[in-house]
Amino acid sequence: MSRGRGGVRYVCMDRETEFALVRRMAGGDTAAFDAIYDEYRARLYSFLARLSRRHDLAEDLLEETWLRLVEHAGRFKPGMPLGPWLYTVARNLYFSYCRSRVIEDERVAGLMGLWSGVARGPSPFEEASASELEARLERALAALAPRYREVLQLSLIEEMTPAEMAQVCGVTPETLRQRLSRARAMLARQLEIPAGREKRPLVREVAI
Amino acid sequence: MMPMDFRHRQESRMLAGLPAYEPERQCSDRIRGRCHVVLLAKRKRAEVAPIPAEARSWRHVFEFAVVAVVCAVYLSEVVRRAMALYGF
Repeated sequence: MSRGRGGVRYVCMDRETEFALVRRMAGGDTAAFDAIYDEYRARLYSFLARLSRRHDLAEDLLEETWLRLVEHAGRFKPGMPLGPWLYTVARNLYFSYCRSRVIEDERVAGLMGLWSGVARGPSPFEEASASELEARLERALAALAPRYREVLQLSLIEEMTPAEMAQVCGVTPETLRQRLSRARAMLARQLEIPAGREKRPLVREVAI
Repeated sequence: MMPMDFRHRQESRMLAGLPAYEPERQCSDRIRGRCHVVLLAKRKRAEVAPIPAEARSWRHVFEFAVVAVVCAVYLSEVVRRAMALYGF
């Protein structure tokens, strides 16, 4: 895992260009695929890695997401936004993975590679974080349940509109608004906790 | 104590400033390679001349007729044997 653009806003391609690329890709154009892949690769990977907190799992889910795109590219209609579609597939794959795991609390804790364990070494993200502030923020984000983590990421990092976020998360805009507000409050609380004493995620939070 | 809105704005800015992470080069190349293989296979399939619609419909009719005949033969044989078993 390597660091990408820190704090730089993503410059998204316009919807028409995006759709043209998807159409070309549906016809088997690998150059069109490369253009889309380069645009979304790091963004999707960051989203999945922060959501799952495991970069090996994030890589597997990333691969599956892209394979789904190349298989279903022919079904895209004009005006259908590619970004939310990709994030929807990615998050659904992650939650399907979570649902498929029927394991005990400690096993889950071990698998998810919790951030705040005293006996554990630093997580891959902490190691990759350049500053203490970033590491602290990553820890606070990781301590939230996945459904709160995802809305924070979609809203603040990906800058999606509430409608797009609701579409990705499969909830109504009102539920989304409440979830986002709760997530922000929870993040604020996490950031107030002294370093090393952040809340450990509960097993039930792993599921939706 | 800071007002909640201000605190949220601050956290939002901080989160927005988090870096994007790249997957390992090897993984990234593997994904690209697998997708290229799928796309090239798609293109190859598309390049194969499609069967004309008329021929396609005749083929369906023919297939259906063959399956129907085979089923009818099989069923009649089953009925014949069942009747023989009961002495008819």
